[in-house]
Amino acid sequence: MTTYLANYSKGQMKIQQMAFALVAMMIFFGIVALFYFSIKLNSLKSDAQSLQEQEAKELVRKIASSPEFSWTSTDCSNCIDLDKVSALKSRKSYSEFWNLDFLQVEMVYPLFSGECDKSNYPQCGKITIINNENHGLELRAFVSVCRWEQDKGGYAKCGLGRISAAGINLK
Amino acid sequence: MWIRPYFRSRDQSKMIMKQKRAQEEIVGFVAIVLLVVIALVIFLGISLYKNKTSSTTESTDLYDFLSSITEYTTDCAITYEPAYLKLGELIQECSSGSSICVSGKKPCDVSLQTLSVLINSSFLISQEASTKGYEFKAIDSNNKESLSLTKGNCTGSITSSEVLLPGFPGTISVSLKLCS
Repeated sequence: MTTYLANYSKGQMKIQQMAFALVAMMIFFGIVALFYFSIKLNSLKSDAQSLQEQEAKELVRKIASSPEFSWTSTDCSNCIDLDKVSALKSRKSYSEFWNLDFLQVEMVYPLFSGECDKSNYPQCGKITIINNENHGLELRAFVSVCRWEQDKGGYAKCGLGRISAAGINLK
Repeated sequence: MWIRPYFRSRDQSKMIMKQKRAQEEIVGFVAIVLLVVIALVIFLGISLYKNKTSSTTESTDLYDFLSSITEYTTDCAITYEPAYLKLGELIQECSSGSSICVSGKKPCDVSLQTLSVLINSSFLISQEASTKGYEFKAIDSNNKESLSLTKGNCTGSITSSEVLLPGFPGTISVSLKLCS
């Protein structure tokens, strides 16, 4: 009887040992899987964010190529007309046209400082068309900023600029 | 006087056998854990290596930048002033190597000077900044490098883009790499 009991408890011990080993293995693999999926999920989130950003930037580019902005003297897809943009600034009816909270064109090179107005145009740094308070993240795209220069008989002069936009439509 | 027997008792032998068996099981368990860990390390190593090799990414921002700078009006006119050339046209002139600006400057020199100013105005490039360096190249259809401009160290991850300009003959590939 004693021998039988001893064998029985030994078997139990073995089963228990195996069960513990299996549980430990499951926990281990579970942690590894969690780790793996958290990394995957993170990269998926960043991918989705970058796609969203790309889409928003496409919208900014679309705004730059709209008839209200585009430079039509030469065949240039990403050139904007600084004179048109300057004229847009004074037209309040356009402030709700694009459904944006922020829209600005700034010069990168040649670099000037200050907001453009009638007194300093075109020797100025930026033209802000829409500037609502608490606008979201600004998205930017490089553009060519062109205008008709009156010197030396007149010629088209293009500089390097940036168009920035923010709003609900860009999120 | 009682003398301790040389041979182990039956109970002692059983105990040693039990201990040996338990040791064997622990060794087996450790071996399995080690195998799993090695497999994981190999898997992580492969996945990280894959990420590292694909560190060059195409950037639409840089594409916009390159497209915009090719439209930039330089201070070089070939025929008369004020028929100033765009930077893209000037790169073509530099590649053909036959003309010279009205001001007496070489198209390649004006191109390099303008490019350097435009890149440095648009991106913050220094060892302390996120962008450590850049590499600009203009290569024609015959694989001849007509323009090359570099700054800083180009190691680590690279963001790049390329635009094509009409060349005589073929095309000129204008590329910019930003290194971080």
